[in-house]
Amino acid sequence: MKQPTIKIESLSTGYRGKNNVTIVAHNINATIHGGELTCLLGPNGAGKSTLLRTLSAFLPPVEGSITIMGRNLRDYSDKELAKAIGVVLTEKTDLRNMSVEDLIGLGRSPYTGFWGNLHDEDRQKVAEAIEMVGIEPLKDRMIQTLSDGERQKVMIAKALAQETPVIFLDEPTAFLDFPSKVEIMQLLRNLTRTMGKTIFLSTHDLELAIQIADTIWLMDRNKGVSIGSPEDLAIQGTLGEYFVRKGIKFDMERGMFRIENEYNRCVRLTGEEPIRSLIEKALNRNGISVIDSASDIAIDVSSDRIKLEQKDKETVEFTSVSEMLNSLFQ
Amino acid sequence: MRRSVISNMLIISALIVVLFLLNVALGSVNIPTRAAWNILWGTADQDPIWTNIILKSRVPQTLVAIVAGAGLAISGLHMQTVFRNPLAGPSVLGICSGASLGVAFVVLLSGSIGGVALSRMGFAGDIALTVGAIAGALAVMTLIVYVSQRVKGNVTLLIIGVMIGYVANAIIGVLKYFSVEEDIRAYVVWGLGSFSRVSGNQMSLFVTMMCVLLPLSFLLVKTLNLLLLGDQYARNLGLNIKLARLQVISYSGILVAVVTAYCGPINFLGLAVPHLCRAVFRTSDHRILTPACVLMGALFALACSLIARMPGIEGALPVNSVTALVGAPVVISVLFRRRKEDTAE
Repeated sequence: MKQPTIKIESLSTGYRGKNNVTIVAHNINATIHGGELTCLLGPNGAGKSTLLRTLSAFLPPVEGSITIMGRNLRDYSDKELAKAIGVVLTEKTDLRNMSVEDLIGLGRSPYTGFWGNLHDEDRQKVAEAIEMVGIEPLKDRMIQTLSDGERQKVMIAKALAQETPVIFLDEPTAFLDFPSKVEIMQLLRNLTRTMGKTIFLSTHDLELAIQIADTIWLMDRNKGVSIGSPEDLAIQGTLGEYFVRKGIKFDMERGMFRIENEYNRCVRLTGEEPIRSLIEKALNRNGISVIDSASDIAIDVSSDRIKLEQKDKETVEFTSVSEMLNSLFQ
Repeated sequence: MRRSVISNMLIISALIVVLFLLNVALGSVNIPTRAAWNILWGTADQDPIWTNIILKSRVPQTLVAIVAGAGLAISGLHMQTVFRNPLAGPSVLGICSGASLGVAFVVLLSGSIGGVALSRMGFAGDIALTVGAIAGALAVMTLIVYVSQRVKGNVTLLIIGVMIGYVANAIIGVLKYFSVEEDIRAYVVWGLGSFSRVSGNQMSLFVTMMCVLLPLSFLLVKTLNLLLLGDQYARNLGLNIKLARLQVISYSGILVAVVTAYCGPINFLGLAVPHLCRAVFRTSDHRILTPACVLMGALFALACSLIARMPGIEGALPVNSVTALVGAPVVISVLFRRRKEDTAE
């Protein structure tokens, strides 16, 4: 049984103005466990950032309480908080002329003295953080020369150097190319496994989150927050409820979302896997559904050719999918 | 600390010594270098006129330039960090304009309301001028600090600073309209900036104040380094942002107020020197930039003061013109280099 690190009780997030209170999310009750990767998903404007800001103590809760490691968030001093929670934000720092190593060294600030000088122990921690994130080659580079993905890793290393049991990340995969997204997510999951960190992040990368997260939080302005493992949420149909709209369909078998196509023709498709499935996808994309029973059009595939039989027409063989599609739409 | 940092600091220090000596040796009155050297060390009896010129005029002027340059450079560095804006500087936040407004009130109103032209009052007039400048600068600074606690974005604050500058200039324009010509002249002369106006007791007071204020900047290095990361990261690392902003803005504001009160508004130095330091030392670390700005600021001011009093120039050029002529190209070249770096990467 994993230990709950963060307890959220009847929490309402929002902004307190002078005369009025703008509530963004209502009555959230939840726990976040140590050694787990939790992903917060939801459409834009659902209040993901506000929730993260509230959990990071940048914003006071409008109502309810947040307990981190047995203590109310309110009772932490600035210094104690800096040793409990590390954050990685979306905002790009416009840092210049600072080496990666020095920036990660700033993550040690809660532990350094008046001048902020690093001691041997601090240097050791910085080196460890760099190693864990795997950015040794970047160590001496200046921040302004890094790509977005590299920069994100550096900020994660900063959070690791901070040695906090809890790390909050606001859309760490935004602006990254797909391989970098996967890399960052896997890195974060590994950190929960190897170091027992509690990692909570917001993201728009639904498919990636479904595949990697231990727990998923779904957030919506109207529906509130739903929490569960990706599979439970799929079985309950909650995932579908939150994200399905016109043109998007949740594919239970594959556990992921699919673009829904409207079909106006059907063909019989036979042949060797996996080529058969690929061809099916290509046909679906073009508004053609696949059936097993007899049809006016029949396609048979093997590893070296695609055979197209059409009623009242000659049987043709093709070597590429696009050629076959072209002929089908003539 | 890296070796290149130390050697760079040593080079700058050596240049300061050289420029200090040149500042003492050169001027509108021709004094042989050997005689100047001897007077400086008090080794031999020299012409009393020369002794007077060197000890009563050139040395104080040079000392004033050193501390004023260091002070403005430090305040520029702090403002650029706290506002995370490369164009922030003492004059941008309207603090200089505040000082000008204070002086304008004192100089221009004394004539039209009190019936005495301040420029004829001598020492008392000088004191009044200084008090006016400090009061004006601190008033604007208090306003800026107050606003900074309420306004979120740094850009907004910067714009408010610029607006305060415009308002101050407008009020000064109105005051000028109602003033006697003599006073307007006195005000314009103050506005040109000068390291040589401060003399005698006032000089000792000014230099002492700066010697107390400047070392205080080292107390803020960790705060400033954290501020580089942006407000949220800095907060997450345990920094009390409101307090930090208050400390940095009021500290640098006081520095500007004091310097401006004694030397008049000196443009560009506070803006250019931090950029120069970042370019030379290739770092954003305030543990290095703070001493670097003190040295570089002093060097820059000495160079400008020397150019302003080049032999052959009758009297002295306004320091403000010299700092702008030297400082503007520095800022432009730094910004161009930055762009080049960005596009190259």
